[in-house]
This record gives sequence, structure tokens and C-alpha cells, in this order.
Amino acid sequence: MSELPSRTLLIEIGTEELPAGAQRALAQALANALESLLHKQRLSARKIQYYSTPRRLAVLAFDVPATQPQQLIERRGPSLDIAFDNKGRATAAALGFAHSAGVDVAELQTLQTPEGAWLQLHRVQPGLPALEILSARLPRMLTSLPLPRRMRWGEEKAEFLRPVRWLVARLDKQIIPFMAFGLSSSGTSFGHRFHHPGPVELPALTNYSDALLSARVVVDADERERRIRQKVTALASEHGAIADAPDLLFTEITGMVEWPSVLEASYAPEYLALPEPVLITTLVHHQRFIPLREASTRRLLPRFIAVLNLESREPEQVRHGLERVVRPRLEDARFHYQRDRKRNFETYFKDLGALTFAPHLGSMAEKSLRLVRMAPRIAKIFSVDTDQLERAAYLCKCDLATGLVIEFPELQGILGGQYASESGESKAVSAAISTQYLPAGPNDPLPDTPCGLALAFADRLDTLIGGFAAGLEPTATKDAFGLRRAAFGLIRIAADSVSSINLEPLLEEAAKLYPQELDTQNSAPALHAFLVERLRSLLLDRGAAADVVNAVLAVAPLEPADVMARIEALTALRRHPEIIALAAANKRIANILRQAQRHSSPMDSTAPAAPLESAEQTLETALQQASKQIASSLNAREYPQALNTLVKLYQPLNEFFDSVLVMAPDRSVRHRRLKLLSRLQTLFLSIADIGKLQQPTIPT
Amino acid sequence: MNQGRPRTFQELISRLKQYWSKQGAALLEPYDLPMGAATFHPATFLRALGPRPWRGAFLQPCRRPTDGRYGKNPNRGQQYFQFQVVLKPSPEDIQTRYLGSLEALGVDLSIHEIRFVEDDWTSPTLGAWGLGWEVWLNGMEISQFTYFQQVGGLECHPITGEITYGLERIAMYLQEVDSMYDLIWHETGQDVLRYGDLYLRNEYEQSLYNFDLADIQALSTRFTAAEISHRKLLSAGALMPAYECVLEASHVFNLLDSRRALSVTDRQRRILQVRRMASGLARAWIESEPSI
Repeated sequence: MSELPSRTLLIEIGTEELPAGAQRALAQALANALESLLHKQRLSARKIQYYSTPRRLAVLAFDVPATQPQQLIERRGPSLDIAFDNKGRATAAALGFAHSAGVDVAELQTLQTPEGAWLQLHRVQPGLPALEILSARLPRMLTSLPLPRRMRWGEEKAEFLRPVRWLVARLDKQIIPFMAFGLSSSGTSFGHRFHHPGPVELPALTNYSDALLSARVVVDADERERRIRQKVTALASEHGAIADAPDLLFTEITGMVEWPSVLEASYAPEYLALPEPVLITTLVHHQRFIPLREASTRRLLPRFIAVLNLESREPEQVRHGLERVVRPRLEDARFHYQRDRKRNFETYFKDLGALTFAPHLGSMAEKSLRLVRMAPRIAKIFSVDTDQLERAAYLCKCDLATGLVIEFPELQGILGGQYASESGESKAVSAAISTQYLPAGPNDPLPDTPCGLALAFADRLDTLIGGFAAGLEPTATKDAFGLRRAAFGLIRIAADSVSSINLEPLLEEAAKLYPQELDTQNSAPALHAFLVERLRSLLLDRGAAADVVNAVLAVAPLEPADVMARIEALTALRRHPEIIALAAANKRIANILRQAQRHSSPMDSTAPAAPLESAEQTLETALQQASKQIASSLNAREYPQALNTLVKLYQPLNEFFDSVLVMAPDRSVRHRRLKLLSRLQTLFLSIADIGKLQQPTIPT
Repeated sequence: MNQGRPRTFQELISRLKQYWSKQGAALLEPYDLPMGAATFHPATFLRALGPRPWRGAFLQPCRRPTDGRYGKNPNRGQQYFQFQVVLKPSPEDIQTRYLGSLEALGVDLSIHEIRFVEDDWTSPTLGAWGLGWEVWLNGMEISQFTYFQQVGGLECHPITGEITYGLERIAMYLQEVDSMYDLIWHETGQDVLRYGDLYLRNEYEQSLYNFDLADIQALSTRFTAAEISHRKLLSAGALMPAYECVLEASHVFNLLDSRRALSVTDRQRRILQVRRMASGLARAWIESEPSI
């Protein structure tokens, strides 16, 4: 086949500053949309690349066919008998078919097959030019991209993430003409907002990024991030320092500049006396500056690097400005820090009475005291010293009343730990306070001390009970009180803790610590179900099969570690043919019992006269034996063993079904057999509801 | 064009007025009732509703009682000045026009770094939200830039672009002082009048009132009275006075808040009440507008 002529395609959406976090994903969505459009139009490109900066999203498609390949269209119409009347005139059927195909009847052909003859449309449709197709389809594609947020501007009806100010759409040298966002597409781009505000000609699209580079725009986000990292590292090492910034900060900065330059600035060394998290939060979270550390000691230096979107004519003035922004923030922090430390940490407890925990749930002081009262019970579970946990519980919310935490709410806990340690609290207590909010996210670590785990656990237990009782239960879209996160944290701590924790009795006990007016009983079932759901999603995340999870959660207590042990055992055996057979038998028992119950008559307590049949006797004996063994296996939480014992019941059960009629005509005999099955079912359900296991579709 | 930096606070204000006047904005005066932000000025809130084009600019003193620090914090006070520009429909070159205003203040854009940092704005009491940015000058926030999407619970069309300058911040930057009370408000020869001369005492005494002295019972009564009047005035078709009831309720709410007189639920309830008032007014305003 000869090479068809191909083109390079460029689309650039010029915008006002897009949110830093959304650019790459949106550029990728643009590339995906274009790829699927080209594919549908039989114009697939060899390669598609996307670009993003704060002021543009672009996609470049290489080797797009200049026209669609021609297409053979064949459609079968009515049979000849129907298509023409006996005088050979075209009937309505033939005319209709021709009309729908957009041709005259005379242009249709005849298709001969052994079954008969039909009218047929047979046409070679020439491909349309890519330019024509794109100009018709791009507007819709561009205005229906998946946006994280949408807004309107001016008099425009179309929505985008921020206002769109120019549109480049080119196929090599040609402009693809269309209107979108109230703009006509054009052939020229624009450069950097300050360095090159004018238009940028794009003579050859394959040199798109070079053309923009000369207009002071590094259009490739990955390339820009590389440059930023490189510049930052180089500047840091000039000062004998290393840059200390999370990857996320680099990504965010990349979304804030088109032409990165770096500048080093400093603050007064006396501010280094502030707790490090305060400095980091001020620099990184508030200002997006990159803190510097001494290379050898990793000690924080009173210096930082700012990544700018400007190569300033007078960087000294910018540095002066940056330093002026940081100073009052740090000064404010220092003021609070010094004042906070004039009081011993424990004295802040008296201020907690004025801090509301949540509507209807009283004050933070009351919350702390509930945690203290819970401490002896929780301490035992986590094998920590009760006094220690009580102390940590008493102090854990005190930092909420300090000036520094009011200024830096994101540092709650961390600053509390610091203040506690400065006030002479033990290491264990301080550490527990500082890690009490862990894990905050799904990938966060758990608190790294037993006392910390115990405190974080108790705090969440209390929050969840109170939150549900006060009607703050999360909905699909809203979770103002952070209960989903709290539940997930609680489950994770329970699941990964050294000892197995049954949440059910703990929920009950912790609920009693709230005043009686708060109806914690009423909301308990909803909370229980909510926790089961969080546990379910944790298990699925960790790779458990959905049916195994369902089978176990149907019967197991709300005890994550125990649930996990059952799941492990069941997962190992689930493809075992006997388990599959047992599952089927289990369903059969359930059906029999259900039906029997429907036509139930009062149980006959008189011993039946008829002796046990032999299969019945065998099953009875096997069941008694298995019950004993399983009870002791369950006691020891040896679920594989329990399951193995269960499996051994299959044989006698099968024989019982084969030779014994359960629904015997004699009522007392019938009851005896039903009772036997019911005991069997109870035994099954003591491990998992194996009836919930999915049968493999291909028999093994 | 470039006259260097304004040396005084009042010159800063007059430069902005001059600049925006040349951009076609009508220069209005402050509204004469207390409000938490210039967005409450009828020239913003009411003009953002409905189809009519509008360009206006004005200075507005704003009160945020909880931000008071008895005059002890150099950056924060219970009263401060906003300069606000509202352009409806938001013009295509609105950002360039804004940058022009910074140049009019003597900010050289080839020296100083200006950055538009994502910032979404919501006003729970006004039932309004918009998308836009904080504008940073060498890392310092100096303006808020918002495209209103909804006002008083109603979708906007056309869209109003709102630019709000925090004047104390900008002036401190331009005058290179570390406390807003040291700002030069006006000078003639050797005579220097500072911001503190005008407002430090006010700041202290108003903080006393806001935090310690305001009569909670009386405030609560005022809130209820504003709500009742609002309802009556709305049904009587007296919308401007009804709108003033929204301003009153909102300000009284802020005072109750700074007196720590509101429980969390109470707070939420009152925010919803003010929003209902604002939304009711916005609807009535739209319905009545063609008849004016």
C-alpha cells in the first residue's frame, strides 16, 4: 500500500491561569479525547503528545492522515420479489431503501445468493479530508472535556475550568476553522505573560515546543519540572545545602510557572527556634517555598528557594519582597509560641471547656475526660501502661487552646506533642499526643508507639459514636465531621494491631461514656453497618475476593484481625472441590430449613419412636465429633483446621441426603432430622456463610 | 504614565480611582452601612444579578469584628479598606487591565513577580460563589479576583468579574513599612499623618466593643428585628431597605460571633437565616428589575 500523505495536528487551548493541580490531568483528558475522535474517524495518529502550563493545554498528534481512507459500503436491502412489482416497477420498499442510502434505485445492485436475490447498496465512499472532519467535530470535543470544576465568564455560555482566551487549531500550516468558547480558532499562540505577551508564530508544528521556548514558555510539564528540580538542586548546592521539598510541592510549582527561575532568600536565624513543622508549614504550605537544609547535618537552615515565573530585571527587589512576606508570618508564629510556652501544657486543659467538640457533643474537655475514662480498658488491649494512656488522653486536646495551633490548625497534635515534651511529660505521652491524628489518609502510617495507637484508637471510637449519635453521619457527598476517615483509621488500627480487637463490646462500652440524653443506642446499628463497610473496603483493597469477604462478614464479629484470619483460611480452601460441594450442600440445607419453617408446626418434644437410620446415625456422630473439634479450633482461632474439619462432614452429609428422607411423614422423625440439619447449619455458620461463595463457572 | 509609587495611602486610593475611571468604570462612594466585605455593597451584590451590563469601582471600609487585635497586631484589624472593581460582563482582557492598575501603582512587572494563584470563593451568607485567584506580588497576596457564578442563590449571566484590592497590604508593600499603623495616610511638607493617627484608637476601642462590651442580648434582638423587617419590606416591595436588613443581620451576626455568643449549631442556623434573606431579596430584585 502506498503511503498516504499525513499531517501534524496541533490544538492549544489558551486560558487564564489554571489551577496547578488540574493541568496535567486535563491535558491528558484532551489527548484521550482527541485520540478517540481520530480513531472513530479513521484518522488515527502515529503518536499523540500532550502539554500543559498554567496558561495552556495542548495536544500534538503526529502523522494524522490528510484524508480518511476510502470506505466500501455494502448494505443489503429488500429481496427482489419485494423490491419490484410484477411489472418490474420499484415498490415503496425499494424506493425507501434507496432513499435511506441517498441514491437512486438504478444505482443499487443485485446480490445473488443461494437463498435468493436481494437489492444491495455497494458503494466506494471516498474519505473526507481530515480538515473538514476536525473542523466539524472539534468544538464539541473541546467543550465536553471532563472538568474537575466548571465556570462561565463574560457572556459565554460554554464552561471551562478557567476562562479560555485563545484557541490554536492547525493541521500543518492550515488553520482548522471552527468556533468554540466564543472564539474563532487561529494559527498563532501566545508567549509568556510578562516576557513575551505577543503572538507566537508556529512555522512548523513539529517544532511547537521550541517555538514556545523562544517565547519563554517551557510547555512540557515534565520538562519544566525537570528544569525546576535541576535549578533548585544547583542553587541549593551553591549554598552547601540540600533542598527539602515533597514531590507534591514540585508538581504544584510546575503548575504555577511557565518560565521557571529560582531565587534564594533567607529569614532571621532566630526563627529557627520555632518548632520545625511551623517553619515548614509557613514556607511550603503557605508560600510554596522550598526549605533548605545543611547538606552534612540535615539541619534546617534559615534559607529557602522560591521558584518564580519571572526572570526579574532586579532579583534583589523580588528577594526583598519574598523575605518581607515570610517575616510577619514567622513573627506572628513566634509571638504565639513564646506566649503558649509561658504556661505549663496541662494548664490549657481548663480552656478546653470553652471549645466545642461538635454540635450536641459537648466540649473538648468532656471529650478528653471520656478518653481518660476509656483508658484502662483500651490500655489493656494495647498492652500499655494505664497511667500513661490516661495522661496522654487527658492532655491530647490541650494544644487546641494554644495560640500557635489556632494559627496553624494543620499542626494540631504535632505541636501538642512538642509542648507536652517541653513541659516535662514522658516520651511515651508526648509521642502519643503528636501521632493521635494518624492515619489521616489511606497511605499514612499508623502511630508508631503502642500508647499512640491506643490513643488514636480511643479518640476515633469516641468521635464515631458521638458523630453518629449527633446525626453527623456522612452522606455520599458530605462528611463535614470526617467520620469516614475516622472509621477507616479505627479499622486500620484494629486490623494491624498486635492483639485482635473485637469492636462490638468496645463500641457499647464507649457509648455509655456519653451523657444519657445523647441517644447512642439508636444510632448504634448505623455505625456498626458503616464500620463493616469500611472493613469491607479495606479487605477488598488488600486483595481479598469479594465473595469470600461477604461470606466471612456475614457471620464474623466486628473484629478485623479475626475476620482477616478467616478470610485467609477460606481463600486458601475456596477452590477445594469439597468446599464447593459443601457450599452447595449448605445451600440445600438452608432451603430445606426455610421451607420447613414456612410450613412449620409446633416442635414435637416427644422422642420419636423410630430408631435412627444408619446414615442419620453416621451424620449425627460425625457432627458431634466435628462440633467439638471445631469449637476448640475456633477457640484457638485456627480457621484452616476448623475448615478442614468442616470439609470432612461432606461425606456423611452426602450419604444422609442420598438415603434419608428429611421430610419424613412421621412428624417427630421429621423434626429430629430438621434439628440435625439446623445444628449442622449453625456449625457451618460459625466460620463463614460459605453459601455466599461464588461457584466457579468452569467445573473443576 | 508611570508616576512611581504612590507615597501615601490617599494617593494609592486616588490612583486606583483614576485608573479604573479611565477603564470606563463609574466611581462610586462607599456604602454607609457596616459590612464585612465590599461584595456586600449594592453596586456589587445587586448589580451582579440580572442581565444588565455594569462597570463600577469604589472604596469600601469593611468590618470583621473577629479580626480585631486591640491595635496590637501590625497586619490585622477589625476594620480595613477594600478597593473594589466590578466589571459585567467580565471583559476578555480583564487580567491585563488589572495588571495595568498595578503598573499605575508603580509596580514594574519586569521586576516584580505577579502570580495568579487558584482561589475559589464562597460566601455562605450571601449564597454566592465564584472561581478565580489570589493575586500574589512577590509571594504576598494583594488582591482577590473572582468570576461570580452564583449570587443570592441565583445563577449569574452575564458573569461579573470582581477585583478586590486589600489596600493596607498593598500600601505597606509600596511604602515599605511593617505595620499598617505606620502607613503614611497623607503628608504636606513636614506634616505627616499616619494611618495609626486616624485609626489606632478606633481599633482599640472597637476591639473592646466587639470582644468584651457589645450587649449580646441587644445584638440578638437586632438580628431578629432585621429578619422581621426584611420580610415585611420584601413583601411591600421596598427592596433597598430590605437589602439593608441583610447587611444589618450579617454585621450583627459577625458581632455575636466575636462575642463568642454562638454555639456551633446556632452559628450555622444564623448563617442559613442570612442566606435565606439574601436569596429572597435576590429573587425579588430580579423579578422587579424590568419594571424599574
